[in-house]
Amino acid sequence: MSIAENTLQVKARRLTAMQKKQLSYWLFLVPFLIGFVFLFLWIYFDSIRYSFLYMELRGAEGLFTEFRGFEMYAQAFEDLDFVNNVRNSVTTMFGNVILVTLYSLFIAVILSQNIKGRTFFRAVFFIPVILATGFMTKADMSNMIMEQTWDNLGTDIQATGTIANGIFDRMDLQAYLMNLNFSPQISRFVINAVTGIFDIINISGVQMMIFLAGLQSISPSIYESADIDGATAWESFWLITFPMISPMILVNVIYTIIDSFTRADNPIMLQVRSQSLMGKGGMGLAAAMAWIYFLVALIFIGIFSFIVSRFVYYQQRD
Amino acid sequence: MSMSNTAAATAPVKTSKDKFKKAKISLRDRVTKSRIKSFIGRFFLYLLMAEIAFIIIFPLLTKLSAALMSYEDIFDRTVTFIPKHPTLENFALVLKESDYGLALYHTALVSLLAASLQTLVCSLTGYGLAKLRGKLSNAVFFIVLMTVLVPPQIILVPMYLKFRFMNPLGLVELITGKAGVMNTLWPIIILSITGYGFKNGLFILVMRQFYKGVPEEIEEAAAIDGYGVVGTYFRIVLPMAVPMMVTIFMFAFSWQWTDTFYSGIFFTQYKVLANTIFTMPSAMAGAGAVGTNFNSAMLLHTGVLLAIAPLIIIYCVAQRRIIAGIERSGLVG
Repeated sequence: MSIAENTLQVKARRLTAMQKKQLSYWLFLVPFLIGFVFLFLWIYFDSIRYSFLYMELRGAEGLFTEFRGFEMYAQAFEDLDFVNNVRNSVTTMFGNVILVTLYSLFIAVILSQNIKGRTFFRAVFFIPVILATGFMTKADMSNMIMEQTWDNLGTDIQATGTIANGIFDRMDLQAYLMNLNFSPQISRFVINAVTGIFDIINISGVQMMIFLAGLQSISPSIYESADIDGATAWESFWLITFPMISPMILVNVIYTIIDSFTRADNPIMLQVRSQSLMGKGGMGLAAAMAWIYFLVALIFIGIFSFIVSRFVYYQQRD
Repeated sequence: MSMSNTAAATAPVKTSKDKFKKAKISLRDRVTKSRIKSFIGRFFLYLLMAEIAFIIIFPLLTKLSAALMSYEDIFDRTVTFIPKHPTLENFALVLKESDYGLALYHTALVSLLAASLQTLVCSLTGYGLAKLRGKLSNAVFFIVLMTVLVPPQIILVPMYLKFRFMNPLGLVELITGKAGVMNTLWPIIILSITGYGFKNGLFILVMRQFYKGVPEEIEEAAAIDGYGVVGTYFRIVLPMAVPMMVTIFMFAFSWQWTDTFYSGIFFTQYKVLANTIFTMPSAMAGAGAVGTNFNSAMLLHTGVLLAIAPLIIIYCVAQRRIIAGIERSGLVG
């Protein structure tokens, strides 16, 4: 009896110690929570509030707003462009998740080895990360807009975007393949594959760097002991590298979904941006669209992280 | 006794000698085979890497070619890639018109500040999320995901209004004479120190996953040595996370450097590269320079190159110093 009581007491004491520890871990979240409570809770609240409003810029009156309940959401679902764009984004996302994860892991494993010219390759492979903010896309887009408006103004500044962009044009490749008398299906497949490779390389810079950092944090002594035990490179990849990097695979899958959904050149992003600037419903309709889109993305993140997290290995006992 | 002992001792020696012979043959065989294999493997490896590198660099090369062209070359149909009259005029023009020196200084300052704060705060938040259990911490994790998933355009207006009229306890008005912290470093500092900067949710997610992978035994050993939770983190766990944090720092640094979203909201007067590059051509057009020898596309191409060139240089230097240092030292594992 007394022993059982004793162990119970010990258990109770341990639990409080655990709870104390958990409480002190909350300390680490203080900056983030302060930011949420004082700033972002209100920012998100405002944004959700907008999605229930009808907004329109009227010349003399300025901004016209009116509470319309869920009407903006209903309008978003009736907008065929929007529904189509969401469907397309989802299909693109599926392809991206699989291809980007495989490609970036492959390249990261190569770059983590001691190959010649590693410094050069790593610097080059970092460039897509720099451009991930859409900096260059914006430059190209504003170039096009400026050229159009200035052409209309009748100045002698002509379109020069063609110089820079026309060399590796998709159209050239298309024409070339047509001349080879392949069936249209095959040439379409090749063109899609080429542009696909181009896109995949440019959107997987971040994921590759994360994998690279993850690979660098694996202690070399694990590989050494596996080598002494006679493990081949293939075995040590699947039995050491893969489990050790698996937490980062989850990160990269989630990030690829997020990135694929929120890239600056995503059709929904373009639609939301143009909707928020003009059109009937204005910011209100744009906010409703964005929140619907957010929920769709969240569902897919949930599904993917549920599947991937079954394969993730943490060096912990629970 | 001694006889059986020697017999037992010699028997395994014989077999091991045999094994050694076999191993020797197969080793020689394996070396030649693997040499050929590795040569072919290496050839295709370098071919692949070179191709990918080419695809990445190509858009920059086209920009470089446009930047080096003189005004005549643009209207010359025979000039496609290599300019006939290469010139540095475009670079000189951009350096002068975009106030490059000042903008570069501001950009470096903002990026360094933002990246340092974001790396530290995201690391802290990630550790908290990795160690906490329960519904409440899951809710916080959901908020983290939300910060990266909500399209930024949709919080643009509410965020602008928050910072435009920011005046906690009337302090801002007391010091500067009017409410709002636009065109100061404060918006970036506030966003960074709370972990809401550009794509900070990703950093938090990365750090959480990293800390979840750290064996619990290490922390238990630290606890036995008498460290508290905070002490364990700063003395034991944080040093292990250095490679991850270096990567995050570089992300944060280069994203703050090239970010046009936050810069466009907060820094309308404060000159940073991400803004001046884009405002420069229209500003010059407004100043009546249209019709003179400049071209908007050429200027933008040159501007983009000049804006990201320092980043690439910094990355190369940092890579040599920091990353190589991490690999050599016993920090990892």
